[in-house]
Amino acid sequence: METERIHYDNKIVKYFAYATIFWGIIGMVVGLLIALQLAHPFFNFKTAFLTFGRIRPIHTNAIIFAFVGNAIFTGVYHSMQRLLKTRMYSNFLSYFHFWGWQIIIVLAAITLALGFTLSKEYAELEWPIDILIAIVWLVFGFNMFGTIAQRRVQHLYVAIWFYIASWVTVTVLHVFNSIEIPISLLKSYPVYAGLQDALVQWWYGHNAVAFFLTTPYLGLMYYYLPKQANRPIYSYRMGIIHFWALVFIYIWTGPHHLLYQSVPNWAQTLGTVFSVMLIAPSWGGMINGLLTLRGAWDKVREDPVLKFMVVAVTAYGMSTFEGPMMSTKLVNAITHFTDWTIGHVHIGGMAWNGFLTFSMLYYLIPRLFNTKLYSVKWANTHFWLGTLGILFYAIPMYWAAITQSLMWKEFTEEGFLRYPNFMETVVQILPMYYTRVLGGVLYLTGAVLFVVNMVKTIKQGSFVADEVVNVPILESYPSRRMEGERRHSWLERRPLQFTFWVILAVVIASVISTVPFMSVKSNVASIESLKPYSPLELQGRDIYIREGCYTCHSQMVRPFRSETERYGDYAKAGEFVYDHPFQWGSKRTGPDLLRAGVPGGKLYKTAAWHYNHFLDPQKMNEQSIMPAYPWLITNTLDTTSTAAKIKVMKWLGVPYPDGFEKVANQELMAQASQIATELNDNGIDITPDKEIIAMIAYLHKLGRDIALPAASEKSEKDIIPAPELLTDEASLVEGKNLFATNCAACHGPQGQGNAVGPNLTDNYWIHGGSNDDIFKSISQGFPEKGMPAQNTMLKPSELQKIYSFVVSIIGTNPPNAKAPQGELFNR
Amino acid sequence: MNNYQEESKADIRPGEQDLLLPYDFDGIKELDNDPPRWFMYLFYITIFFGVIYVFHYHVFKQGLFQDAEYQREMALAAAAKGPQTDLEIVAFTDEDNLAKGKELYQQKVCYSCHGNLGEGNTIGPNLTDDYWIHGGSIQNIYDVLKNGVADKGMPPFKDQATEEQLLQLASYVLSLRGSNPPNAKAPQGELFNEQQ
Repeated sequence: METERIHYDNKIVKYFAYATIFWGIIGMVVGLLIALQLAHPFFNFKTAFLTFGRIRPIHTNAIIFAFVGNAIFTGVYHSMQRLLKTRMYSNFLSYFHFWGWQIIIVLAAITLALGFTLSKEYAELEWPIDILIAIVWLVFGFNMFGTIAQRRVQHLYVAIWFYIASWVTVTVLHVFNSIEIPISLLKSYPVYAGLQDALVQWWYGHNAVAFFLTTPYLGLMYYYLPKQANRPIYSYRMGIIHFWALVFIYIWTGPHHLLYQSVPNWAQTLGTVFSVMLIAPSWGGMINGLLTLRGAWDKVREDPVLKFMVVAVTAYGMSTFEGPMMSTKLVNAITHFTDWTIGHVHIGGMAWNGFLTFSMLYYLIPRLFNTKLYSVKWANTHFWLGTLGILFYAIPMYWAAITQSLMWKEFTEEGFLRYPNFMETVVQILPMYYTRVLGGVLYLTGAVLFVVNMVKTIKQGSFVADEVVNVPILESYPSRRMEGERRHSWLERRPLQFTFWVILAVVIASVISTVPFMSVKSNVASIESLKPYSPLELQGRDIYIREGCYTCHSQMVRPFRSETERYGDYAKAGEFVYDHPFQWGSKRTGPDLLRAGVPGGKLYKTAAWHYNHFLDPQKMNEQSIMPAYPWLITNTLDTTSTAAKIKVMKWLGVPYPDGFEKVANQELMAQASQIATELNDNGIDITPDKEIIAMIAYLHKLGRDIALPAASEKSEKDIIPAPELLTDEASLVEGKNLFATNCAACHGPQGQGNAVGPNLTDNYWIHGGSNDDIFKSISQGFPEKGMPAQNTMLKPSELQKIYSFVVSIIGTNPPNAKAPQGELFNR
Repeated sequence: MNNYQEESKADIRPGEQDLLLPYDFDGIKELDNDPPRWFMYLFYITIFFGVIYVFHYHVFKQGLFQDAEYQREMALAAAAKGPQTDLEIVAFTDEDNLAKGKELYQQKVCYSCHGNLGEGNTIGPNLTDDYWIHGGSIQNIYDVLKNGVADKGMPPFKDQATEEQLLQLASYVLSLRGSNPPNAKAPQGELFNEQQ
């Protein structure tokens, strides 16, 4: 057989491997910090860039894109050269890719710490970085396909299939989820709003998990596991089946992040059924991996590298069974918004991605440096520290999740929430948060031991940047299928056709599962009373986004009694049409805030309360784990961006009047002055130009607009005949008192009427003046006009007293009486 | 040359020889085993589940969607709750009930707006003096606790506590009158005369 001498580029592999180790340790240390922050708010250090809301996205991005990302590139650049028997296509592109990616990571860490974020999970980075990511990713793709094109083997191995699918899908996901309109260099609004934004985001978010954390790693497993075990892959056909099934089915599952939320039922159904159908295709990888070790378990007992692989693959199997279960409504109702999700992703992150990365590097570093692993014993210790770390992390999370979820849902015999104070449910799980810190420490200790082992290994070896190999020269095959050649076998030597089918599968699934929401307006119920954010509220919302409030507070009350009792009316899709981006959140470390601005609502707090709470949450509630935000009180609100923000919002379809951007700041100042005055009245020294004023304005906007029409949805109750009219002094005094607390705000203390409600003391009535009419009006109200139904708030005996009092004041002629309204009724 | 080059010869066990596929990818061989049968059955069962699920909810419209589920849950809860009863609003004075009221004062986090001893702070008024914004009778206090004062940020507690508990809490608040705690907030509202 004719051969030729080529050089594998080992230097690029080494670069990516070093970056993997470096960012891995950083990502884990940051993870440990946020675990500490959740256990005790002290660890936020009252410093903006160290506070949980900003640090948490740094942790997720560091682990996903810096640690796992670099590990993918390490493995791809290493295995692809060997599987295709060629050097990478272009040195320039390889190093452009490497340095480009590291620059992106550094920029990501800096901008996230400074609060520049889109608040879309795992897609937080602002638009210039998004563009940079797209460029570097395209360079990677060009380099990859170039390498494939110059290969010296006919067929593409299954690992390469997974690399191709990952690259294609991540490209599509990144581009379509990142369509945003810039306002300035580091601020933009996504084009999607509310429900659409949520569906696109979770189409992206879920498939980032699928095609960044899963499929590339399956590729790595298909190379490093048989290499390390030195065993043949159990089933070639299994590879084909689970590859294509994964590529096609994965894309549909995004809406399982939105079960019981304000998305159409059929989207939720897609999320559930495709997730369940994903069990077998996901397990295909695990089964093929584990069965490859069939007959070689003696090796696993002795070899720490194989141990890491076995735990990684098993954890992958557990996680991909757990995921579909969490995608059913039954389980999701309990696990969503809790720490279950956190436990779930850490089984994936620590065991599947982490352990597979470690095993790959244990395999790869000694080979790059022509030496043996420095200490197998240390690697074994690392394995046990890591495994214990995972257990001490995951078990407390599951425990905390079940405990808290059941507490959220528990009712007393009298029909009240057993734990109406959210804090009680947090305090209960704090010990679990401390245990998680222990898990993190164990895992990180193992990782540090790994680094030391690597350094020692590197020191004792000698690196060859360009590894010389003799490879056979490729004989040419016809492009058509040959006689007796299996269809898939043919496809494996036709990369373009192969990629075409991958794209087709991904695009079909993506289009069907997202596009209908883009065009069909009827999917979004319109709510007339909903007003766009005022300029001050919009600025406040951007501060809410900047501080990462969504990392702990959802804005999505699900249609459960336990949630409507705790937070208020459940969420409707039509509420979110001006929300660029949506803020539904995915985790409730603190209470839901969707109805935080409804006066008289369950979570309504005054401006003064918010001021004090942001300044020092523990002063308001000693056990709170919320960080303090003192800088909101000292920072001056940047109003130079107001006009640009209004303009972009208008362009995106938010109905601000023409020319509003020119007067927006005047309106902003007027609203700010009101809030500042209210705070000043409470003895708080603050000027209207501070950020906290905008934040309070935004919090008071939440749910306010739809609070009234929501009440009108209640069906009219049957007419109840008026009870006996009471005339005794005591009852009328009680009625008067009830009137003072319940009615006087709109009808005046003497029933004389005011700017809001009509005069009750004259003989003119809008809804009838008979005793029965009056009682019915009080009892059932006219929610659409702002008159609340009292029978939901008062007992029958109280209704009777109020009604009797109202009848008793007819004809009393109080001063300042409002002009008559309605029709004359002669009593 | 790499130390490890020679290891690439795959470890093939007896019986596997016939199943080996002719390719070799950097020393990795593949076997032509069928996927385990149970694996394929699992796949078919999940697909079957998906079809049944879609038909159940979207074609035969048998399953309840979330709005209907919610209505049913609320209706069941309302039926279980029964009619409201009348409680006579007279302040408790016995230690037991006042202690429970004190406990509730902590539990419902009243202190965050009214201070630990009811002295008031920048958010809520002083509860220990003789001045009341919404009246100082047991009935007044009870009503404010129950229904809240929406525009002033006092939340309603009627969904969080039984009427008896509200009365215990109101009685406790009433018992604070004249306790003169340190750092008390200046009086707000009107002087309330007990004989009124």
